[in-house]
Order: sequence, then structure tokens, then C-alpha cells
Amino acid sequence: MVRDQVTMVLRKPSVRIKFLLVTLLFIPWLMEQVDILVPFADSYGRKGEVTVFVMLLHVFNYLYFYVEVLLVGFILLIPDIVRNEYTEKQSVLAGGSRKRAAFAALARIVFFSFLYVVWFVFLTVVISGVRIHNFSLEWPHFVDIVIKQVSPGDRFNMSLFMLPKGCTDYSVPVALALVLLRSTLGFIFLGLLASLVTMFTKKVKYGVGITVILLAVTLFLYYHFFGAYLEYYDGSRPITDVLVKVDLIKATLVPFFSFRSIGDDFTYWIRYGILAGLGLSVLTGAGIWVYYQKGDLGDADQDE
Amino acid sequence: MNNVCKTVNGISLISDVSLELESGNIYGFVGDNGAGKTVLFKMLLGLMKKTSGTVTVDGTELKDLLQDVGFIIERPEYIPYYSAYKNLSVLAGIRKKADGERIREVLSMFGLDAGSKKPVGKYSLGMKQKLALAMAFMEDPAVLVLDEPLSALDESSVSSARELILKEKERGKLVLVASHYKEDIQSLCDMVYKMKDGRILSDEVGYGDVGDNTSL
Amino acid sequence: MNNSICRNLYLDIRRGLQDKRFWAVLGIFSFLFFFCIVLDWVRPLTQYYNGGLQSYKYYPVPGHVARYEVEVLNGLVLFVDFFPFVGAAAFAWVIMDDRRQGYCMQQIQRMGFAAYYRGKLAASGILGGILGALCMVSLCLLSLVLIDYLPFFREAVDYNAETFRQIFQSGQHSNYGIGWSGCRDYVFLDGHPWVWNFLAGGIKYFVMGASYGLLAGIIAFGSDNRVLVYAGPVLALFLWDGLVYMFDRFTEPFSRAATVIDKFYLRGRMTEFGNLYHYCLLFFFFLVLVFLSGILRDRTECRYMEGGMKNG
Repeated sequence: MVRDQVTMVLRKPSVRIKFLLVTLLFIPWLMEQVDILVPFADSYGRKGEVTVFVMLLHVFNYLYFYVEVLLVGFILLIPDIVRNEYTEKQSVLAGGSRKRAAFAALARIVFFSFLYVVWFVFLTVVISGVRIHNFSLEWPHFVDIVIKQVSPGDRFNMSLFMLPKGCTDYSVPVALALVLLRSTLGFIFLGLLASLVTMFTKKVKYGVGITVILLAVTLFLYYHFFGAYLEYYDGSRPITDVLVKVDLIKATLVPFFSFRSIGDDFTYWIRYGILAGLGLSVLTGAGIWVYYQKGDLGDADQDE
Repeated sequence: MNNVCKTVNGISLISDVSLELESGNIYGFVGDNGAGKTVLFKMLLGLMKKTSGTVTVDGTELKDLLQDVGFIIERPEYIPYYSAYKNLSVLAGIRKKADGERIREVLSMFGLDAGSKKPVGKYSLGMKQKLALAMAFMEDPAVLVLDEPLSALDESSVSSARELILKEKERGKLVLVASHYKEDIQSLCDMVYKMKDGRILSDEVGYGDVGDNTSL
Repeated sequence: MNNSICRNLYLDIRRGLQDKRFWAVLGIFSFLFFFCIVLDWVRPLTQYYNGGLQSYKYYPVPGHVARYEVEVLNGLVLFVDFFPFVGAAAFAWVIMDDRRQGYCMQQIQRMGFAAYYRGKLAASGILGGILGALCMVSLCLLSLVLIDYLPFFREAVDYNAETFRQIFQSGQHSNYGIGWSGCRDYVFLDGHPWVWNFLAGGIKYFVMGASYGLLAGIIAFGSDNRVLVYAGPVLALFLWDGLVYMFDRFTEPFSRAATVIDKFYLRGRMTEFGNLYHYCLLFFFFLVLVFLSGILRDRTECRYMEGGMKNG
């Protein structure tokens, strides 16, 4: 049932066009990154060159990549994955129970989120592989040098290579697996949230809207406040402590997909991102499950 | 159905509906637009939750979706970029009650070409309606719930569809039909219920009481 | 026939202007701008009130707050990347709705498909432009009228006015990050008061909004997909820049060609006022879209006349 639903969505002409558009967006962006980063790594002399997997790590840690490509593409695909547009009632009844219908809906979103990440992993490996030719699984030595150059108090350092300190404590495959897991969970959460909002409001546009709002808030806080740090002066505090800093990064989508700075601790933020993504996915998934058990199903989108 | 009610945002869509429906009969539901026929059907199917009341099937209360049912509710559902055969095979693959042969059989029953690759999105309204009927009949269900099943069909298709529905009744199936057309109700139904504002106006109207009006 | 096209264009523009969506976009845009400004000034203002005066780059002064904030907003990634949505939100939804309800066939039967197609695209472009320009006007009005005269801004403004006037007159203001980025090169309004820059900006915003409105209209005719209609112009902006980058990269060995191609980056030019190259680029972009709409007309006609009303 899930396989047929997924195949049906993948064969939808508009889904194919959207995937094509996002791929076309991604290719020049990736080529630009390769053009910038390869000479950057070379500038460190004989300290190792960029590998395809380090490139992959950089791409999936770089917030700008999500903003420009991945999240935009995912938002485009939300109307196609959050509901069975054409045969909602037939599919629900054919499943035989509300539990099966709920499971199919959840599985569809999870699978698509996974497929979405896999597609861009594939593209990154292929396109950067053509230029870089280095598929080594070892950390190049220049990565350590770049990380060591970051001062401890530097809270917003968007170095050319988005590999935060502590990532070299793990092997490249493990670091990559953790980063991709975090991103996948982030997409799963967004997909489930959009689905939940769509179900309650009966309008897909609100499901899309909530993800757009989250992305917009993230962008604004991150870029306008140099990493989502809001500062103000509080006269009631002692003179040496009068500047108050409110860290809003956890209220944004950044921890689900990226890091604020390469000065951040990889282990802490990856753990936070994975646990937060998992926790919120479970929460929204539970909401969808409950709605399928208790709510009215098979209603057409109220926008029609 | 026993004292079934449905209220949404304070508005009563279905009020105190009690019905007993037996297999081997065709029940008609008539009423103006907004009378509550579709809501009643959706509650029978289990798609809509009741606010109060019970629905029992063979003595057991229905708490989930109705099993073994074929239906047409609101507008026909189909995947526009798939052919008719592919549309049915996707749904048949869920419960696996109908194989390829049965799909071809049911498509030809309703005058559709099983071998055609034409996407359903390019079908006329009548052909889409035939596909919807084929979808409802495909798995030989015990219950058929049909909302305006014969709309948009040409004359010969209407008479052959009526024959097929009557045949299902003879095979002991339970059939529920909602229609605005007197001829459909009179030719098919053993019993007719008239609905207004979410209520059944009177028990067991009988199709003779439907009257001579051309529209209901 | 021409009278009916003009009449229908007038009716469409009126329809767009009377719809709450049009004004809702403007209202949300204005509110967000105001919200951004207040957030932006939380730190320096609270510093002024609670932290004591310290050396800080941006001193609020009458008029300069307004110009500074407009410039900051122009430079926001959020604003620049999502402004195309403004053009799409103006009227393109009408094309979708009419098709969905079947109302388009009533209009087409009366005026012919070609007139319907051109009329709707023209309305989408014009209303996109109007909305874009209104956003600009709203920015200016909010900056000039509201921000400088909010009580907490006013006091800070008065306190620092004299200090800042001296800095500005000494020509050191660029050290303090106040000025018009990009306006120093090839400025055809150089030497004029900044209000002329705003007017030029209004024209630019109109052309941008019209381009995105036209593009959204083309997508609406071609796709029947609401999300694609609203997101399409944003995507198109990104795709255009990506395409220019690819051309730029491959012409790198031919430096003169690369220099020419480099001028075609759209996004970076959107919010710089006064640069003639940028205006020419925008007009070129607009003409490309007009040409594209002409090419797609026949195909769209086949789709509309074959399929009739879109079944949901």
C-alpha cells in the first residue's frame, strides 16, 4: 500500500517537474562550492585535499544550502506528500482500518524525506566526484588546521568549510551518518508538521504556510542577528553584566540541519539536532496517529 | 444505525437517524442538496466519526472502517495520469481481492477498454463515472454505497448500470443509492428514505410515496 | 475586440485591487518591516537608555534611521529572496481559480482565447508591479513617518542629532556604515537628494513586481499547481542566477565575455537603486518573459480548449 502510494506520487508529472527544478537549482550551487573549496583546501599546501565525503559533509552542514535549495524544494513537494490527492477515500477504505491508514500516511512522509536526502547525497557524490576524484574516507589534515584557527569565543564564524570543531573526533563515515540522520529527521519533522496542520485545517496551503513561516523566521533570526543572538541592555542588572544575550538558535530550524558556527561543538549540536528531530517527529506523528483514529477522514482540500 | 448524530462546530449535520438495513435490498435516499445524504454515507463507511449513536454491523458495533464495501461518494476518485486499468490495479493491490482478470472483466462490464493506455484525466465525465462504478464493483463487496451513480451516463449505459445494480441485489448484497432522479429511485429501490436537514423525514417512505415530481 | 480587451483588463485590475489578498500581502509586508526595524534597534536603544553611551556605529538621526533601515531591509536575504512572491501573490491566483471553477470558459467563449490569455497576463503583470511599488511606498512611509517619530526613537534621535550631524558633515559617515551601497557607481541620479533615489527605486520595484507577476501568470496558465505558481518566481530567480553562474564559469577563459555575463546576475542587483545597468537588466528580464509568454500561447490554448474545466 505504501509502495503504491509512493510510486503514484513519484510518477505525478508535477512532482517530476519539481524534482527537476530543485536539481537544476542544486547543480550550479554545488559547482560553485567545489570551485571555492578546492582552491581553499589547496592553499594549505600539502595538508591533504578535499575529498568527496568531506564535500558531502560540508554541503549537508551548510545552512545556506538548505535555504537556497533543499528546504525550498521540500516545501514545493509538501502538497504532494502530505495527502493522497486523488484517491484519499478509496485508499483509506481499502486499507481496512484507521490504524493502517495512519501508518500508510506516516510511512509515506518518512519514506519521502529519506528519498529526498538520498537523492541529493547521490547528486553531490556524482557531481563533486567528477571534479574532485578523491573518494578517500580519511580526514584531510587541513580540516584540523581550519578548526584550530577558530577562536573559542567566536560564536558566529561561517568559515568556508562548514565542519565544526569536534567532527574529526569521529571517523568520516560516522560523522557523515550522524549528519545525514539529523537532516533526514529534520525533514521528517517538517513533513509531519505540515501534514498535521493540513489535516486539522483541511487546507494544504496552511501546511505549506507553516513550513514557510518557520523557514522565514529562521532566516531572519540567523542572518539579521548574526546567528540568532538577540542582544539588549538591561539597566536593572549590575553594570558589568548589563548586556543581555538571548540565544534564539534553538527556536529556529538551524539545529535540525546545520550549525551556527564552526566554533560550535559537533557532538553537542548533532546530539541536540537528532534528539530534537526525533522527539518532535514522534510528537507530530502521534498527533497524526490520534487524528486518524478520532477524526473525520477523506475530506477534500477546502481550497478546491 | 441507532440514534446517530453528527455535529460540527455547533451545526447539526445529522440528527437522530435510526435505520435498519438488510442485505438483499436496495435502499434509496432522496432529499435536497445539503440534506445530509453524503454525511450519512460517510458515517456508515466509518470515514466520519459519529458525535453520538451507534452503527452495528451483523450485531457488532462498528468502531473503525466498514469492511468489504465498494462506494462512490462525492466526486469520482481517480489518478488522472494513470490509465483505467492502472487506476484499478493500484487499489486492487491493497487488499488483493481482485486480480488482473477481474479488473478487465469489471471494466468491460461498464463499457471501458481495459487495454487503453489513455490517462483517465482525458476521459469525458461519463467515462470517469463508469470508472468510478467499476472501482466500486471491482472487489465484489458485500455492501455498495453509491452517491449519484448514474449521473453523466448516456441512456444505454444507464440501463446496463441499473441491471448490474439489480443483479447485485439478487446476489444478496446490500446496496444504498442516493439520487436526485425519480427514474433511478423507482427502477432500483425497494425502500426509499427521504432526508431533510439531516433527518429522516419518515420511516420507510416506500418508493410509491416519492410522488410524480421529476426532481426530488 | 480591442475595447473588450481593455475593458476586461480594467475589470481584472479592479478585481485584483478589490481582493483582500492583495492588501493582506501589503499589510503583512509593512508589518514585518516595522517589526524588523523595532528588533533591529532594541540593542542600541536599550544601550542608550540603560547601558550608557558607548561607541556604536549607527546613531539614529532624523531621516537617517529611515534611509538606513530601508537599506538594511533591502539587503536582507529574506526580503531579496522572497520578494518575487509579492509579484506572484498579486493576481496569478485569479487565473488558477477561474480555471478550477470553469469560469474561464465563459470568458474565453466571449472574447476568444488569445484575448483572454493576453489580458490575464497583462493584469497579472500590472498588479504585480503595483503591489511591488506599493511595498516600496509603504517602506518609505513607515520609515519617514512612523519610525523617526516613535517616542523612544524620537528621544534617542534628538540626543544624538548634533553628534551625528558633525560626523556626516565631516564625510566620515561611510565609516559608520551609513550610505547607499552600490549607488556610488554609474549613478544617474548622483548629486540629487535621496528622495530621487527612492523614486528610482519605486520604478525598479514596479518593474520587478511586474516581471514576477507576469512569470507567475505564465506558470498559472501552464501548471494549474498553486504552490508552483507562488513559489515559481522565487525559484526562477534562483535558477536564473544559477544559469548565469554556469555561463560565467564556462566563459571564464574569455574574460570579455565573462565580464558581460557577469552583469546578468539578477538577485544582487534587485535592491540597488540608481544603477543604470541594473535597470536595463530588469527590462531585459521583463522582455524575455513577454517573449516566453508568446511562445507558450498555442500550447496553453490546446490545453485549455481540450481539457475544458479542470477536474480537481
